[in-house]
Amino acid sequence: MRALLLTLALFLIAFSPSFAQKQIKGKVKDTKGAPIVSANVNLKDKEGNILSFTRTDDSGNYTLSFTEDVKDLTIEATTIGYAKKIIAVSELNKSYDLVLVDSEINLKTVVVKNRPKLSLNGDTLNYTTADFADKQDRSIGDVLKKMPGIEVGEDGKVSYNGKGISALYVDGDNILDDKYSIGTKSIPHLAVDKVQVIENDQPIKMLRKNNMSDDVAINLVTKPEARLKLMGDAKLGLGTPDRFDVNANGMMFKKEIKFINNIKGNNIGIDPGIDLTSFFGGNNGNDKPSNFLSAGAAGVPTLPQKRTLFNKAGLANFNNLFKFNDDLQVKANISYLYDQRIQEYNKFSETYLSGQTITFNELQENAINPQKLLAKLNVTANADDYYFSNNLNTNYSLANTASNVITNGIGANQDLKQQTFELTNELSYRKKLKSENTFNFFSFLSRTTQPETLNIRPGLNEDILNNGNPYAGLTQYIKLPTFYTNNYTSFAFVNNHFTQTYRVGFNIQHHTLNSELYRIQNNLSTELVSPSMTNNLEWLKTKLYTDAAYEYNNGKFKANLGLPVSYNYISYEDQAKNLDKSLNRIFVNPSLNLKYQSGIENYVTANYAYSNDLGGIDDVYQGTILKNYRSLFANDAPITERKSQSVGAGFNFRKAMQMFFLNFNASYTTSTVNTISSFNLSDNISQRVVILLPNDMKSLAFSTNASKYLFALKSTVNVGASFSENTFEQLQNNVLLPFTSQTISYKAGIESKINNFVNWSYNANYAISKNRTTNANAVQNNNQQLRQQSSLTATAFKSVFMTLSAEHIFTHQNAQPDLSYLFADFNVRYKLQKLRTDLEFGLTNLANIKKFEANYLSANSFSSGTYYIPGRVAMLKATFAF
Amino acid sequence: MKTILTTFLTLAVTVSAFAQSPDKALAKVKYRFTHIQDTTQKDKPYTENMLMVIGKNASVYTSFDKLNRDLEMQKQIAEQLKNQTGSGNMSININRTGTNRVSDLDYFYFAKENKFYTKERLVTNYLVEEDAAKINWKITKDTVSFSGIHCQKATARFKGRNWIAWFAPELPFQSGPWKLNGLPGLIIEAYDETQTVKFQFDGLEHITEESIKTAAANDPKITLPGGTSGTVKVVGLDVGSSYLGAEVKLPADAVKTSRKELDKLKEARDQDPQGFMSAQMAAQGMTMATGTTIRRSVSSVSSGAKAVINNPIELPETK
Repeated sequence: MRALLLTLALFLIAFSPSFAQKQIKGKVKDTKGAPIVSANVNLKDKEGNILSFTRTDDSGNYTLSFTEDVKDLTIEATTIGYAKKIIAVSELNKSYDLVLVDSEINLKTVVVKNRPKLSLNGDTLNYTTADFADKQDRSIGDVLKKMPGIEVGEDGKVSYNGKGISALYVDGDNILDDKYSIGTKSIPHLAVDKVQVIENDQPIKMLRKNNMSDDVAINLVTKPEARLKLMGDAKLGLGTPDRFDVNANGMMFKKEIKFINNIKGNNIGIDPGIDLTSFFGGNNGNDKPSNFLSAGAAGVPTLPQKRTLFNKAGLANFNNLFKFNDDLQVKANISYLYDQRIQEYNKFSETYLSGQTITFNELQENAINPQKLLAKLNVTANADDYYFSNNLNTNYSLANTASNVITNGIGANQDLKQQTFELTNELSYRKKLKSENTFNFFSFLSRTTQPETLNIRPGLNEDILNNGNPYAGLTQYIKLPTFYTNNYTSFAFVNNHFTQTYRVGFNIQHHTLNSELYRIQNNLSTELVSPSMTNNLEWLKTKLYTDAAYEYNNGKFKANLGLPVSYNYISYEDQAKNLDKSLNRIFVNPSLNLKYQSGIENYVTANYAYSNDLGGIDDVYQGTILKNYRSLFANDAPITERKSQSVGAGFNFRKAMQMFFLNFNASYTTSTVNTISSFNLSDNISQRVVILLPNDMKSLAFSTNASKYLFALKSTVNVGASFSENTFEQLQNNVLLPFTSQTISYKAGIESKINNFVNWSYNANYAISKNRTTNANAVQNNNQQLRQQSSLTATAFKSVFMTLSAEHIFTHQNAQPDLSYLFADFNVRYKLQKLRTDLEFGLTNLANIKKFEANYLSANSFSSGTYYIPGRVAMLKATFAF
Repeated sequence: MKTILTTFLTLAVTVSAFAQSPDKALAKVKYRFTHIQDTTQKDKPYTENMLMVIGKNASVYTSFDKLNRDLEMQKQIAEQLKNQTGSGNMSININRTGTNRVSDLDYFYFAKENKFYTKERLVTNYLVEEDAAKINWKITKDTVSFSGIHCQKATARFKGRNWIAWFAPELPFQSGPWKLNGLPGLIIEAYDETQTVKFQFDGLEHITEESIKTAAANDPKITLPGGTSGTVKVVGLDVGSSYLGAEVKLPADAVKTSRKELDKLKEARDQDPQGFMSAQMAAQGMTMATGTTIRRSVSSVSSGAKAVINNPIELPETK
């Protein structure tokens, strides 16, 4: 009996897998009916994956066994000397015979020029770092630039086939969130085995099954040895005239603890604040003016910042992630930035209006001192059936700008102090119910204060601000404490390919705007300039919304329809101005997104959206604010209401194996706004008032980009073109002018490995911008700029790297002299392998250019600016890696 | 005639013959073999260029470096023989260029018969026959392109290592480097999980009628005193037509044996090289002149300072 049971048990064990096992049988023959022996027979699914494979026996028979329960199967028979034959499987218990037709044996001779660089697994594209890295590269960012399909912007933003990435993971962990550029800069490429591009990235585990994500993320897979210990480097650089550059990185990529910590400082024009650039993430609907006041009218020169900046800046940036287990992690991102900048420029500007020309001339010297402290604490629990994430964020920033200004021959000192303190908390909780349906609760809370003070000594524009009498100065105070919250609950019903999400929520925004403009008379008495130049405005904006979203995804086709309905209520009150208004609106803002996978490696997208938006406090305060020494801003209009419609389409194509990437996008937006900014310009002051006047805006844009790795040339090339056209209206000195601005730009670039010791890179951007008004006597202008960058790196004796780089900027405008600037840099690095130290000598701006001029002509204005820039700098640096 | 040649070097002259059941050679695949034999010296891997000649059904995998070295040697001998034609006392000097080790094992794989032969040369060529190991490959979705050849990834546990192989479904050969085979496409590249053993693709060449003719024309020919023309064959050298010819076939002169017997033979060689050599040559119908000393050939596997191998390709299966 026992033996029988045992036999039975054994039989069951042996037998049970064969329940799931399926078989397909058949024969492979030639056209004469003779069996083909030892032919390959593969069973494939509709994506072309081989599920099972076998070979024919001596009689040409085959048996394919498989366990997968899938439809759309095909059988493929191949053997040398015959053409491949594919037949579809309709039912399993049939016999499938394949007849192969003779074909010429056509083997192509393959010469190996270089190693493969790309591999593909479903939604994940793997780039082997070593295949793209060159000896002189240091960080993973240096190598990312050379990978076809991946683009790294000058600000550090990483895009894949035209789309900005949503996360930079290190071994699957998101240490840096939206401020990932420190990662691409400091992680050494030697620590990275593979760079993975993950399409349709879904960080929330419980949503992976019915993944609707369109996000693209990059994951850096580190080498096992990089996960063992602390890694990093320390750099010390000194230069002339009086330059320094220090940097220290410490990194750890263990499973349970990961960090990227960095301290840096320099006065060589590199803004460490770039590391704090946030590449994505919104404000959760908390639209508010960032700052009311500014230092002046001049912009920054149209040159890369590192060539123009006179700075002394330091940054401490700590990013630490602890993992308690696979599902639970805590993350802290803390940074402090201290910056001192000096700017010196003069600007001449003319605005041509009917009957008059407004001219002003200004010379400005600014000393800017921004400081920033950012701290973020995140707790995330990410399990298969629930998700919890809480972000506590504190931002404090302080910026002082001291300026000496001479405008139209009148000198003044301006002192601007801006502080912002922001405390926010974001909580998200999701739960997967037994029915596969999901529940989501979201809450966002924010409290902000942003006091600003502007002092001008002596007083300017006495005609307007002091009845024509000279006076000692002006002081503008502004406060805008804000409270904002956004909360919602949603339920998602998941049914195979179809997901319905219903959401209910509300948000509240509360501001109090306090502003006062004081003047100081020569006897040092202080008084309000005018009661009309104060604000004491209470603002309350609430929105109650419900939202139905329908998503359909069958793998090939994805559709997403959103139908949000909202009730909006705004009230604002300024008693001193007899202002007490409110507004009720019900909006339906439908949107539709479609994505069709037209092939395994290409897809088409289309979208349409209709939206209604309401403006903010910025457009309704009535008391005039002195924005800077030459601008006065006020409003005389109800709340701005904007209706817009937008359509867009895109095509995304790649052939990963050929390393070819292509994308094409087009969009068109039209909107109607009920208010407009009316500018009143005079030689010494410009005044802006927002008034009620419906006007239209239209914008049309096309862009296309392609990137390809040329195996024969060992080069990554990319080309792109874009076109954009905007039409809008401007109201200046009571004349309404329609404007059209058009920009066409082309770019091309190559990253080439000429041979084992010479690398060359070249990038060119050519932009043509045209501005015109339909005004009869207006100038139609045409501005062309060609910017070329090239660098040549040579390796000598295995450990000496020399780089010569040049940047040429050429500007041509009608009726203006051409401007041409050539900047050249030279750098030599010596690698002391044994000491793990790099010695580096660099010369920047070889031509010692100290002044940069830029002219700009728009449809009705001309301005010319001269900027003082740092001249030649020589640096000696030592970098020690550990 | 025979005596002269055998007195100075163990040379044999044969006229090339045809094999009986040829599998037409269709392509040559080159691999770069990298093996970290000593894991304490990861920076000094053993490297060798390998060649695989593939036919529809059969393939042979050998050392390209060995082949080139032997060809070079053959050329030298032929040159010297030619210069000394007619002289009664021939003396041949061989300069081996490069002291790199080469592997002495060749692998023959016949897909249809499911047979695998290891050819090992101990003066005479010995063939050890075994059933081709059935490797339980798992095909994954990963794809990659090697110089334009579209490949798919497969993984398997084989001989104590986790292997990753990239095969080309578009090239329906079932062969691969070393003992790796049995995928529905030519194995273009393979490495083990630890990356200490790697077979990296180094090119593929279609064998055409012309290319065979050119190869044959380049075989150094000598005119023998009798007026007959032939190619030089040196005992201990495998060259020319056996690998670069029109067919993939087992060497006709090889002796089939078992693993056990071969191991015995090797032991004998190591203990008494001189006696072993005479016996082997006798087996080929040659005698050694008295007073001839045989030094162990450079290419012997066990010669010289033995390299430390703490990481052999085949590892005992650990459970």
